[in-house]
Amino acid sequence: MPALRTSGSFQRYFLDGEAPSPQDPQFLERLQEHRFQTIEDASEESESVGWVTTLHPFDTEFTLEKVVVEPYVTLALRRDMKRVPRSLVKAYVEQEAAALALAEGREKISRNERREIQSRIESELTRRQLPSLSTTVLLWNVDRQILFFFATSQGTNDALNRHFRLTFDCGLIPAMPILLAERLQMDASLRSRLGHIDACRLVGRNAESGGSTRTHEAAATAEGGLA
Amino acid sequence: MNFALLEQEKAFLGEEFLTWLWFRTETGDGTFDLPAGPAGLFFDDYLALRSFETQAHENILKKGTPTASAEAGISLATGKKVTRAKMICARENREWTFTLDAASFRYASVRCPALESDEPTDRFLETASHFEELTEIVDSVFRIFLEERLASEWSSEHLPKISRWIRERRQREIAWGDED
Repeated sequence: MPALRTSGSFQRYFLDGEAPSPQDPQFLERLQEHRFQTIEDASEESESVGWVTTLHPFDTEFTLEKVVVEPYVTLALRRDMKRVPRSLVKAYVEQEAAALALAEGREKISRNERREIQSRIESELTRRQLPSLSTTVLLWNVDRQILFFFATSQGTNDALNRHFRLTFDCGLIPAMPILLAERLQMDASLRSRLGHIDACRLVGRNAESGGSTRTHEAAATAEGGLA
Repeated sequence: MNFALLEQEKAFLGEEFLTWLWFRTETGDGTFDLPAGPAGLFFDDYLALRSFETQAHENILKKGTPTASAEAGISLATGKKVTRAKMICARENREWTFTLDAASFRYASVRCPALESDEPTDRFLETASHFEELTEIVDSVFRIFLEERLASEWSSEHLPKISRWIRERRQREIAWGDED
């Protein structure tokens, strides 16, 4: 049974294309193929994005029981990042550069020597550094092809878009107002006007007297500012 | 498609929706007859307004009832529109609170109604249906807005009402200020 909290922040998406059905054996295979892969031992700054179950961030053994409660599929996108603080690298480099210069009786070391020290220190610190871990739940109504992704940060949403496409060969369309409007049931003549809609001013003589709707820019120019 | 650019270019649609919603809740009772049953949408204690023409100017009003404040009235009267608002949504005995971002329709800090089920599968389905119901209500109200906003009568009928509401609201606030 997948886990789902009763509170949170989310971005909603529509499916852009056709993803395999959870009943299709390909579905679990693709999840397994694009499961989360650890970067704990990485010696370079890196990021890893992959699927885990909602039961535990280490759980990458996908079964229908763990991810499907019809009509929903519930997954978690795990995103780990290894980043060494710049200030720490700089402090170590300064310390080693000063020690080397002193040992060799020089005023300062060459640029190449400094680069080598920095590269070695970055590698050592990155290997010792543990990655930051975040998991974000994705709730997917398979019947309605609507998805709720429980994060609002751009970086995490970008990671979802990339990884979802990679996994299912299918894109996601964010439910922002203009794209949502295109999907709502509406009279065709109204829908056709969506493509030409411009922002309107809600205040001023023109708005109140029932003048034509114009863009802010045009209105501001014509009226020399707000009424 | 560059969604980030599209979101920026068409942000006004969500901003006009939230500002229209404020007008509707203040001049009506905030309840809407929707296909899946009546529901209410009300403004809570957070409101952010921005002007399209002066991007740098944003007013954030918190605590109490921001929509009733003179600061909110001034913001509207100077052409600002709602960019984010904390809302309360109610249907039958269910109540949600959430903050809606006008440009993206991202829902932040959503609190769903208390669960009534005991069994894990039922609790899962009830939670999922609460998220779906909330967005279904907002979508339906958004559709009502669009039907007005895209109608040929928008400029001659609907827009003047909103404009008059903003002006009269501001005039009342000034009159109350003079009495004090």
